[in-house]
Amino acid sequence: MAEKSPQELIQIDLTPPPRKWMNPAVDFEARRGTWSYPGGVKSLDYLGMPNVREWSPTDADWKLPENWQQIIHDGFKDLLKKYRTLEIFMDICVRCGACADKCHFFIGSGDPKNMPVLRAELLRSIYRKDFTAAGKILGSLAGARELTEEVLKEWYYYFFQCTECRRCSVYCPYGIDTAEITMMARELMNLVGLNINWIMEPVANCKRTGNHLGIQPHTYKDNVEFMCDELEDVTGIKLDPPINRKGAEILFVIPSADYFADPGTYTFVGYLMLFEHIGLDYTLSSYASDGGNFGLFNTAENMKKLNWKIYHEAKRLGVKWILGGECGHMWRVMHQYMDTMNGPADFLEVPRSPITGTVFENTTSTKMTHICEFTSDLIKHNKLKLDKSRNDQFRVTFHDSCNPARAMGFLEEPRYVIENVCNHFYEMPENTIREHTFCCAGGAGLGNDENMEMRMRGGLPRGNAVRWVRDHHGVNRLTCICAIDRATLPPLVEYWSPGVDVSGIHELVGNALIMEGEKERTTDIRGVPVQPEKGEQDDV
Amino acid sequence: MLDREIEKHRGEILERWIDGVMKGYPEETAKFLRNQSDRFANPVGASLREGLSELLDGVFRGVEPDELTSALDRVIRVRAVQEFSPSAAVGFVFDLKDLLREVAKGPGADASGSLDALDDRIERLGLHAFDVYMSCREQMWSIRMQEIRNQSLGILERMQEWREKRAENPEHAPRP
Repeated sequence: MAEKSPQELIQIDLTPPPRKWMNPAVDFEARRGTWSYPGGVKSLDYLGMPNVREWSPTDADWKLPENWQQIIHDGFKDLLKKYRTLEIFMDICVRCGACADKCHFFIGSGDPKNMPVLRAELLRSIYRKDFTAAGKILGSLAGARELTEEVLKEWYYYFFQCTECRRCSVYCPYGIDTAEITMMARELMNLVGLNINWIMEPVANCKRTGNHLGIQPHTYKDNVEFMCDELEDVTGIKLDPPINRKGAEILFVIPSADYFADPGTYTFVGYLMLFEHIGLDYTLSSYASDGGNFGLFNTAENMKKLNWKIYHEAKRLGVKWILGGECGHMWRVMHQYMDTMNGPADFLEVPRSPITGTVFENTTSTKMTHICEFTSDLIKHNKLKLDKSRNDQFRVTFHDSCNPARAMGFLEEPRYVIENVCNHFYEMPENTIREHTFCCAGGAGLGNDENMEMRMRGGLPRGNAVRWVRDHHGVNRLTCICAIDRATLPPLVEYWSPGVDVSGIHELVGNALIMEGEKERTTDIRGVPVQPEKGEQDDV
Repeated sequence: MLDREIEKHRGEILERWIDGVMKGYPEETAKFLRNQSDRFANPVGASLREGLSELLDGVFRGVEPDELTSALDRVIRVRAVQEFSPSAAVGFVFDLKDLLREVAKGPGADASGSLDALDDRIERLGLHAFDVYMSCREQMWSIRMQEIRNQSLGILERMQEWREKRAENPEHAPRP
């Protein structure tokens, strides 16, 4: 063998070999950190899902049913019959590329199959082969592929690398809802037993107990009391929020993380302080104890079930209308699917603020109003006593949570609330906020720890924008109105923009509210001492 | 001074260096990284441009690798979570050696001891790049561990203390 010089030895060719997108090959073993564990047997059994078994994506044999191709073909046919949109989305794309560079996972990973157009092609190529004349005759020339086991594995990899955030859809000239393409692919995979545990366990828990975490009523009550006692230490105010109270005017529904995980817990006490402040006639429920709906990330049937439990509880308690907390995908389900799935909720009344008299006509059908809308209305009518300076230690920015922003067009209300409860608010660059907002990369069931590397890739565009306002405006607080955000943004900013803390908006509302009978506040509602300069500002 | 001679070609060296790193991505991605100039639409491209530019100046000026940590971090923090092997994630530093040699072959260049000195700086920078890469990877793992811990314990620890306090104090008994 000829001797090589050190210079020659150090030559590393970094150029990857050219790879045609049609060739599926995912090495799950080599790509640990970028996929999620499969659904657990216990949860799948409980939900009655098909093909329940122990398996791992790293196994060569995924233990599929013998006739799995037929099952998927038939399932695809059913979906095409059921949803006209699916057929349109399959046919109409002209591959213009407008969506290609808009996905946070593509931007952060550089993997072309994370381009929304290409991810959708993974499904479209099978549609062409099975359901179009051109695809049947011309095969790969018409962009058609056989559904092989390799293709199915590729589906599993890439359709669980889409957070259904719909940023790409904003740019699609045809208005293709790419999240729905992911939803359809997941429906099909479920038919042969391919799903992930971070979705299946919450769905099973929610079906059983009413919330994704599987918290039972006595623990729910304990948690609420615990948070109220902690708040009492800070404010001197003792709250005793009603739970499962029949005859209340309003049922208040929140994501379960708000009463089980920091920093959502502080948003939760912010809500409760607000209700105490205005003397609202409301109740919490230990059964409708999750606004979130992981069924959305699983199957339409499960989504419908989990959504109905909220309305069932509203009926049982005899409330007039429903108020919803700072949750993300809950609002996608409510705003875009509830009415046709379970609506109209005509046993309820159109939401009307008992304090201001405002009727929320935009929720005539679902009878469920967003807390930020409710709070902005209170502020607009001067119904709240607020001391903005209590948030002076925070330089705040706002992350538009994907679903409220893009599925509801909910852009102004959260900003209005923030601007009225704190003095220092700075927007991130305009192509990263409002309808252009970048996802937290942990939605749609992907916010699990085994998927952390993928989350960091997908979190780069958001983290990069947060770093910008941190460096240019000293931002130290990233607010959002979604429980998944509150869970997944902290790791994201720790990696991409350290020094920024995450909270919901009603935590800031709680800080600013001047409560009757309160003691002097020396800390924020987290119990963190307010900074010395605050006192000076108070003296001004 | 050879450094000066080479520094005249700074622009060309930098562009070729950036281009080489971008070619490490699939073709469609490389095109995007090159052409999208908005730093928020293309954070990977922006961090490559800014990071490599600062690193190149540092190498020319003979800055100690320690002082280039933040520039290395700009580039490597991204690559540490992308689909690169560790060697590919930091190997871009060593590309610079060949690039400088190619430029030094041009007219008027005197390829002597100065190139070796530059090589030495680049190698030390390359070693430091491994440190930065490892700190990013370790940070990601510690974030993951922290998340698991928060999920399983989280407020449970605080609640446990609260329950004990409640058990001792009848004033804090569970409400009816």
